[in-house]
Amino acid sequence: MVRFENVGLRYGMGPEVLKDVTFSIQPNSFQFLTGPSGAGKTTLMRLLFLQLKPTRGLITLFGRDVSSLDPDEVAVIRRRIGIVFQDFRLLDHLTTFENVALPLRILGKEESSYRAEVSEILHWVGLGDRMHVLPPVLSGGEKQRAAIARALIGRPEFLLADEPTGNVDPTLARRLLRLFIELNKSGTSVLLATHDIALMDQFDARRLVISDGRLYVYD
Amino acid sequence: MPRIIVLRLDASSPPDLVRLKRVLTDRIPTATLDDHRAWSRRLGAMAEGVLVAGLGLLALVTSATILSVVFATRAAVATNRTVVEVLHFVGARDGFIAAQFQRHFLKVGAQGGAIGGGAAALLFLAVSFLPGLATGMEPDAPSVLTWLQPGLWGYAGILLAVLLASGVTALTSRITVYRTLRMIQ
Ligand SMILES: Nc1ncnc2c1ncn2[C@@H]1O[C@H](COP(=O)(O)OP(=O)(O)OP(=O)(O)O)[C@@H](O)[C@H]1O
Ligand SMILES: [Mg+2]
Repeated sequence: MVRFENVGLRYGMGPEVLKDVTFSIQPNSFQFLTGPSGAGKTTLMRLLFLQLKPTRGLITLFGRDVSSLDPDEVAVIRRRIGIVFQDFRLLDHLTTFENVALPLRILGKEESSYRAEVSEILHWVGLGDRMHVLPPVLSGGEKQRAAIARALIGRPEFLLADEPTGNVDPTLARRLLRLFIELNKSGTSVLLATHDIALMDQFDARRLVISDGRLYVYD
Repeated sequence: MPRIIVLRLDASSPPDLVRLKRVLTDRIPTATLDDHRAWSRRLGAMAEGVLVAGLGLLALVTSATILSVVFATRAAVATNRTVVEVLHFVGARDGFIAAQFQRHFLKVGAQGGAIGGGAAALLFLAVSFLPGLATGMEPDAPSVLTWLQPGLWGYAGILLAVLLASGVTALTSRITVYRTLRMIQ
C-alpha cells in the first residue's frame, strides 16, 4: 500500500532530516512510529500525506509513484487517507459538527445525508454533547478527539495519527488507542506516531523508529 | 468716442472676414478687427482641458479603488490560510476551494459595493430634490449643483462601479487561493 525506497528529505538548504528511508506498509496493518522529539516523525507523515515531496528516492502510494501525480489526483488520493494533525487544524469558525463533516461536505454531500453518521462518530469519541460548540471553547483533549473524528468520517483506507494521545490523560489515551485498534480491525491501516512508551507497551504492534534521520523497523 | 453699430451677419453667406480685416488695416493702419473667434476658441480649449483632467482624475480614482479592493481581498484571504490548508488536506480539489472563496468574496464585494453605490445614488437623489436647484430651473445660468445632476448615465456609472468592485474582489480571491495552494503545494 505504501513503499518508501531510499527516501531522503531536507527542508530548503538545511541538513537531511530523513536519510535513506526504506520501508513499506501493508493493507490492514497497525504500526507505531516513534523516535525522539525533532527526529522527523511529522516530516515522515507529511511525505505520506503528499504535503512534501522527497528530495530523493521513490515513494509509492496506493500503487502510484507520487512524483507523477497532478493536483487533482493528489486530492483524490488524500480522500483515501485520514490524518490527525499534531496541532489538530480545526477551523475555529465552524462548530465541532461542521469540522467533522468537512471531508463529506467537500464531496458535495447534503447535510441531511450525513447528519446521523457524523453525530454517531462524535458520540463514539465522547463528544456527543459538544457537537454545536466552536473549537476555541473545547479543551485540548476534546479538540484532539474532534480531529480524530474528522480523520475517520471518510472511512479512510489509511489513517495517519500524529501524537493523537499527546493532550489527554492516560485513561483517555488508552480509550483512544482502543479506538484505533478497533478501526484497524475493521480494515484500515494505521500509522500512529507517538513518543509515549507506556502507550506502545499496551499493544503489541510493529514499530518504526526514527533515529538520526534513519528509520529502523522492528516487526 | 466709440460708437456701437449693430450688424446682422447673413449666416447662409458669411462675409469674408479675412478680406475685410486686410482692407481695414490697409485703409486705417490703427484699426483692428476682433470677431471674438479667437476668444471662443480659447474658451473651448479650456473646457476641453477641464474634461481631459476630469477623465484623468476618474481613471486615477478608479485604479486606486481597484488597487485597494485587490489588497484588502488579498489580506482577507491570507488570514484564511488555515481554511485553504485544511480544505486542501481533507482532499478538496483546488478548483473547489477557489470556487468556495470566490463565491464568498463575490458576496462580500457585492455587499460592500451595494452599500457604497447606494449611498452615492442617495446623495445624487437628494441633490436633485434641493429646492430651486432642480434641473431646468435656470438653463442659462447652470450652477455647480445643476452639474451634479447625474442623469441616467450617472446611475449607470454607479452600477458599473459596484459590478467592477465585486468582480475584482471575486477574481482576486480566486487568484490568491491558487497562489496559497501553490505555496502549501
Ligand atoms: N518547515 C520546516 N522547515 C525547516 N525545518 C523543519 C520544518 N519542519 C520541521 N523541520 C525540522 O525537521 C526536523 C524534524 O522535525 P519534525 O517536526 O518532523 O519532528 P518530530 O519527530 O515530529 O518531532 P516532535 O516529536 O517534537 O513532534 C526538526 O529538526 C525540525 O526543526
Ligand atoms: Mg511532530
